[in-house]
Amino acid sequence: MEKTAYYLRTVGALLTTLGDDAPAAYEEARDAAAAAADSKALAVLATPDSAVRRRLEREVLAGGAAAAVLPVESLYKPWAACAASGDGTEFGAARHRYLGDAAWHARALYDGLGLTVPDAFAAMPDHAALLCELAALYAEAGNAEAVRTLLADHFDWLGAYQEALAQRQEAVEASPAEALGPQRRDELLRALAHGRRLAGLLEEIAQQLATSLDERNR
Amino acid sequence: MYVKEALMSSKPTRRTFLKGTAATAALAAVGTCSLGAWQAQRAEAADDSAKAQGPSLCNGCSSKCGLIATTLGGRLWTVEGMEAHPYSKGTLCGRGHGAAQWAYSDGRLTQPMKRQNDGSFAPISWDDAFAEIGAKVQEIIAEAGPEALAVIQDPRPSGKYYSKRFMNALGSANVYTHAAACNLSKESGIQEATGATNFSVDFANTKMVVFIGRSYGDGIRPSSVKSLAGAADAGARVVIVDPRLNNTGIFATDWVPIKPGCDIALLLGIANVLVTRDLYDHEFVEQSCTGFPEFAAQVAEYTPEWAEGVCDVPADTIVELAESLAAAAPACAIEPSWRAAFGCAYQNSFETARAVCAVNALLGCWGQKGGALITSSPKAGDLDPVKFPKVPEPAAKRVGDEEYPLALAGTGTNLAVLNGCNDGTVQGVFFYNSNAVQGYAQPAMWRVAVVAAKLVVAIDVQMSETALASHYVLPECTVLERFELPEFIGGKKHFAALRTPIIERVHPDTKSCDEIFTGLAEACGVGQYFPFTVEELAEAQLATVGTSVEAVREAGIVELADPGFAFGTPVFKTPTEKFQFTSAKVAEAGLNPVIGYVPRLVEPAEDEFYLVGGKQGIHSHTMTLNLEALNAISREYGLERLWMAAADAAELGIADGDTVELSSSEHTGTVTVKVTERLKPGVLFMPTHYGSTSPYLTRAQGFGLNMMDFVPLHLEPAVGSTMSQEVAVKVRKVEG
Repeated sequence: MEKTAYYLRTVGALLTTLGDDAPAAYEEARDAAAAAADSKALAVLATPDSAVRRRLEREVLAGGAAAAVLPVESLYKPWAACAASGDGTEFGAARHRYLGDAAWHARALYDGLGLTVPDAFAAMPDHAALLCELAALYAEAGNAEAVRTLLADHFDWLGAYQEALAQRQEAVEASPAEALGPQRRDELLRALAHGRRLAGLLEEIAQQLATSLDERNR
Repeated sequence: MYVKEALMSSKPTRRTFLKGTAATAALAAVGTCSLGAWQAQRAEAADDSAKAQGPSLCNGCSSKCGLIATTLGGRLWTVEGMEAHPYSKGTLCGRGHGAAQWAYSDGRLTQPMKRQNDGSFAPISWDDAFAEIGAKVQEIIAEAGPEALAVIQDPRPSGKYYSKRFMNALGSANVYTHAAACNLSKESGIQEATGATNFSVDFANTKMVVFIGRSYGDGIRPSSVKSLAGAADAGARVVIVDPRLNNTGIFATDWVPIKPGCDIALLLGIANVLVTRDLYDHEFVEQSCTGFPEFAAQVAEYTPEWAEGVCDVPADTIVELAESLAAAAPACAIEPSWRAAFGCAYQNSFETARAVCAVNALLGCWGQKGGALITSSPKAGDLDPVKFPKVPEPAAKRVGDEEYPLALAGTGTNLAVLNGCNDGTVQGVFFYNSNAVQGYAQPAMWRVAVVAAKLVVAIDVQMSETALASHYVLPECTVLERFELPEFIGGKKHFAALRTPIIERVHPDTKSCDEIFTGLAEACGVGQYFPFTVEELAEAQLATVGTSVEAVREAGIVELADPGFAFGTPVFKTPTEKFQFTSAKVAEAGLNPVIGYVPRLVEPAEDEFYLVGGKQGIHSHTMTLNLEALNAISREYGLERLWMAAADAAELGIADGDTVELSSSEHTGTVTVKVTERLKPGVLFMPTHYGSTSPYLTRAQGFGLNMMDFVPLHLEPAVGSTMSQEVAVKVRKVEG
C-alpha cells in the first residue's frame, strides 16, 4: 500500500508547475513505479521533451491560460450537494467552479491533521497533487481505511478530467490556422496528450491501490 | 509551490505541497469523515452563525445595481437585488446572477501574464510585471513625454478614480472612457442642448413616452423595467421607434418600424408639425430657449412628407404622433436612450440627440411632471491635501480633444488612442475593465494600432481580446472579493453605496484595482501620489457627504442630503443659461449650429441590407459570454442568431434556422438565422455579444458573430464616436 501510494504521490506532483525540476520529478516517479511493482506491474512514463513540458505547465496547468484544463476536483463535480438551513445555492450542482464541496471537504481533512494549504493552492485544496500527497501520508501511517475512503471520495473525477483534456485537444485541432502558429499548435497538442497520459496513469494507480486495499480487507 | 524533502538515504527525495507536519497518530486514526458524512453533517446543522450577508454593487454591466450577497461558512451562496438601491429595487437581472459566478469560475485569470514571442502567455510575478512596466513607461516618457501614455477604462467606482489619478500623476491628460463606443454622441448632444449630459422620464406621471431605439426589456436596470411597467399599467401610451420590435414590446402600445439611422428625420418631422401647426409650448420657448427663430425657419422644410421619404415612417403616423404628444404635453417625453440608436451609431447621432431635446423643448416637458427631468448627482467634497496629495494638472492637452471638440470633457474619444498608436502620438496604453479591441471599433484596426504601441497593459478578470493583444495582463480579483471607493448615485434623491468584500480572495495572486494602480504608480516613480489605502480614501470621501464606510456597509446604501428636487423648468447649465436650439460651440466645431438634419453616412445598395445591433437581457457587450450559465442560456435559445425579416427571407429562399453568410467590406462570417415578423424588411439585427476570437474564452470563442468585425472604422465628425452601425451588408444562404 505504502509504495503504491507513494507512486500515486509522485505522479500527482507531475500535474504541477515544476520548471527545471521536471526531469528529476519524472525520474522519481519511475523509481517509485519500480519500487511499487509488487504483484502487478504499473505503467511508467517517459520524460516528455522540455518544450512539451513547458507548454503543459504554461498553457494547460496554469489558471486562465489558453488551453487551461486544471486537475482540480471541484471543476468536474457538482459544486454543492448540500442545502444548509433550507436555502438553495446560487450555483446548485453546476460544474467548472473552484471551491466546491470537494475542496471544502479536502480542506476539512487537512485542518483535522494540522496541515495547511499553501497560497498557490488556495483556490485548489482539491488539486490532484494535494490529494495524492494526502493519500500517501495516510498510507505511510498505515491507515488503510483512510486511504480507501479518500480514494472513493476524491479520485472518481479523473475520467472526467481526461475527457476535458480530450475536448481541449479537439478544440485546438479545430482552431483556425492563424490562431496558433504551427509550432505552438503541435506542442500544445502533444502537451494535452501528455496530460491525458498523466491523468490516465493517476486513475490506473488509484484503481490499483483501491483494489489492493479491498483484497487485503477480505 | 512545493518543498523538496530529503528523506532517509534509502528513500528518494519527495515533493511536499501541503504545509505543516501531520502527527502520525492523527494520520493513523481510524474513522475519518467521508465526503458523504461531511455533506450530511453540514445539511443537518442549522448553523446560522455560519451565515453572513454583505452589500456590494453588481458588475454585470455599468449600472452597478446594489446587491446583497449571502455566504455560508465563508462560501458564496446567493445574491439578490438590494431593495433600497434605486437601480435594482430588490431585483438582480440575469447578468447579475451570472456575474456572481465569476468569483469561482474556471475562466478567470489567476496570475499576471506576459506575452511571449509566439503569442502565448507565460506567468510573471507581480514584482517583475510592475518593474518591467515601470521601466517601459519611463522609457516612453523620456523619449516622447508623458503625453504619449493613455488609459482607457469603462468607469467603475475605484477604476475611474485610480486610472485617472495614475495617468495624471505620470503627467498625461489622456484618460478616456468607453463612451465613444457607447453613449458619447447622445450625451454630447444632450449637453449642447440642455447643459446636462442626460435626463430621465418621469414614468410615474407620464401619459406618453417615445423610445428611440432604447429597449428597457433588453437593456439594463431592473428599476427601469419596473418604472415602465408601472406607466404601462397606468395606461400611458408607450411608442417604440425601432427597426425591430424589441423585447420592450410587451409594454408598448405602438411599434413604429423605421429605417435605421433616420430617427432624426422622424424627430424633425414631429418638430415640424409642432411648430407649423402651432402646437408647441410658447411660454417655455419664449422664456427658456435661445435660437428658436432660426430653428423654426429651418424646421419648416422638414415636413412629414419629407420625413417619410427619409425614414420610411408614413407621414400620417408622424402627424398623429406629434398631435398626440402635444395633447399629452407636458406629461410626455422622447426618452433619452443610452447606446441603442444614437449613442454612437451614425454620422448623425449627435444631432439626433439634439433633435430629441428639441422635441422635448417644443412639448414644454423639461422638468415637468410626466416629462423630461434633469436631476443632480452628489460627489465627494475636497479632501485633506496632505493625506490625499493633489496631482498637478498635466501640461499637454488630451490627445483627440482638438479634432473632436464635442467629445465630453469627462470621456474624451478613445478612438483618438487608436489613431494615436498608428501615428506614434500614443506609445503606451493601459486598459482597465475595457475590451476595446473587440467591441469599440473595427477589431482589425485596433489590433494594428496596439501592435504599433510599445507598451500595452490590460487589467481584467479574463483573457479578453484586448488582453490577448497586450504585452502584460494583470488579473483583477472579482467584485465580490474587493472593496471599492463609494459610488455616488444621483437622481431626485442622492445616495452613496459601496462594494465591500463578501468572500476571501479565491486566487491570492489577483489584486484589486487600487492595489494594481498603486503598484504601477510606485513602479513608475509616482507612488507619492498614492500614500493612502482605498479604505482611507473611501472614509474621507464619505465624511464629506455626512456618512461613513461603517454606515454604508451596515445599511447597504445610505441616502444623502436631500438635493431639493422640485418639478418645474430646470436651470439649463448652458453658456446661454437657456435651452439651446442653436449652439455656438457646435458652430465652432464646424457643424450647423442650428438643430437640423444630418443624414446617415452609409446607404446600402439595392442588394444590401442595413445592419443594426442591440443588447440581450442576459449579456453585456463582450464581457459576459464566457460565463457558463449565461453562455448556456444563449446556446439553448439560439440567442446568437441573426434576425431577418420574414419577407426578406422568403425572397432569398432562407428558412428559420438556416445558416447564412453575412459579408461587408470588412469581414465575412456565417451564422444561424432567425426569421421573424418583428423586423422591418431590408434590415438585419445582430445581438452584439458574440463572435469572440479569444481562444482563452473557451465557451465564447467562435460562438456567433461580432458585429464590429463588419463595420468600417469611422469617427463621427467633431464628436469622435465610433459610428457603430454605419455599414451595409450582404447576406446569402449557405448551401449544404
